Amino acid sequence: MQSENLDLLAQTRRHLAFLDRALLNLMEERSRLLSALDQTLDTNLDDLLMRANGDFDPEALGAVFEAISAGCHGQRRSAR
Amino acid sequence: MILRLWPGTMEDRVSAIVELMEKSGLRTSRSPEPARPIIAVLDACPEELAERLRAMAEVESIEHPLGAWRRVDRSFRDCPSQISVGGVAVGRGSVVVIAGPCSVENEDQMRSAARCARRAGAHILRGGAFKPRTSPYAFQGLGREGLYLLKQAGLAEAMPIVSEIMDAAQLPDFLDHDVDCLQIGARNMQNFTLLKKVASARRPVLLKRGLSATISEWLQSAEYLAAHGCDDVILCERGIRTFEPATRNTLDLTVLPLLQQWSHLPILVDPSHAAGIPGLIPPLARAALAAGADGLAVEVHPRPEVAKSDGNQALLPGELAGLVADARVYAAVGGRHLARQNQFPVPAQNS
Repeated sequence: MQSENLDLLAQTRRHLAFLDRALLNLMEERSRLLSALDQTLDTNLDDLLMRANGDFDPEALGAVFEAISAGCHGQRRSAR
Repeated sequence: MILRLWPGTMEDRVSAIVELMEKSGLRTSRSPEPARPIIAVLDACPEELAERLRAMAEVESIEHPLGAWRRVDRSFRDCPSQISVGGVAVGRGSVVVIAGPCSVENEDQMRSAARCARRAGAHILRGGAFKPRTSPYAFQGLGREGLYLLKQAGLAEAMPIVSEIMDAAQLPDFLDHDVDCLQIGARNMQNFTLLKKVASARRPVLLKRGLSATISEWLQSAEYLAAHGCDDVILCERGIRTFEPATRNTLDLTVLPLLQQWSHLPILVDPSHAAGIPGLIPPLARAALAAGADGLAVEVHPRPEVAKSDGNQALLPGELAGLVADARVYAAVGGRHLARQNQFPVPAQNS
């Protein structure tokens, strides 16, 4: 039983690592797409909130996408 | 047999090894790989000589391709190949979308299709000028005029062009119109006279898989091209003939991970010809990219209902845009990215 739990833990860890890499790759691609533009493009947060019906906390979405936008090359903030 | 020498091996030692093999009556071919010397031995190497080579300090490994190909074998390069088609990078992480109508029909249709393809995010424009049709009474293409219209549409949208060549005698027409990539269609995959002639043009070639060709036969056709001077071969899986009549062909996605092990060549997938049904194209395209395809070749038509050929499998412009957006996401999940579209030339400034 304990070894089954360890297997599940290891498997979940691998799945999370894959998802994290996929998220990183998608953010990199988002940045690449925006880098060709001279202007900023806002995320349609209302649309995303309407679609958020899973386990992810909807209240955290705004902060997540604000951070993603800030990290994208095309919208990088120059002031620090 | 393929000899992989250690990176940094001195040229005089490479020459000595080549000379040793050639004195034994073996033909050799040097890989264009810049990272290290790699030598393909084209004839069967006697075991005694192979042992001698294996014992040399310069030899890191000796690989044995699974079939009768050498230059297209995975071990002939350090990394998967990346091929430039008129400035658009294909392969090694750069994912492309080739789009356009099945046939070039007239100037308006071609210009409109090119505009749609460009706006949707496609990279390379396709269009058939010489059409291999099953029925002798079906539209056979505009020929040389079709190549002209295709090239003009490509130039207007800063898109390289690809078109199918059916006969060696057509090659001057393709070169006259500066066709960026020559397509060998499924029916001509084993037309070795055509392969040799096309290879001599030293242009990138899109080699479609034959209707009933095995992977080995397909790679040997690619080897024909490489052996006659064309290293820039792009494979394209377009479905094979099976017992299943519900779709036009059966898309063989197995080839994607398999060929990535067997060959360094980029491989595209043509879901339009595989399915023959527009509604199946987007999911097949996503599956292909998830399985590692280096790109897609799809048919798009501004008005499929009046197309002179294969209108029933063409995407609408809006559907193509959705497919390109999907391609961006699926490529990114796998750590790859869509190729950059060619930029429009900056107009000359009058000073």
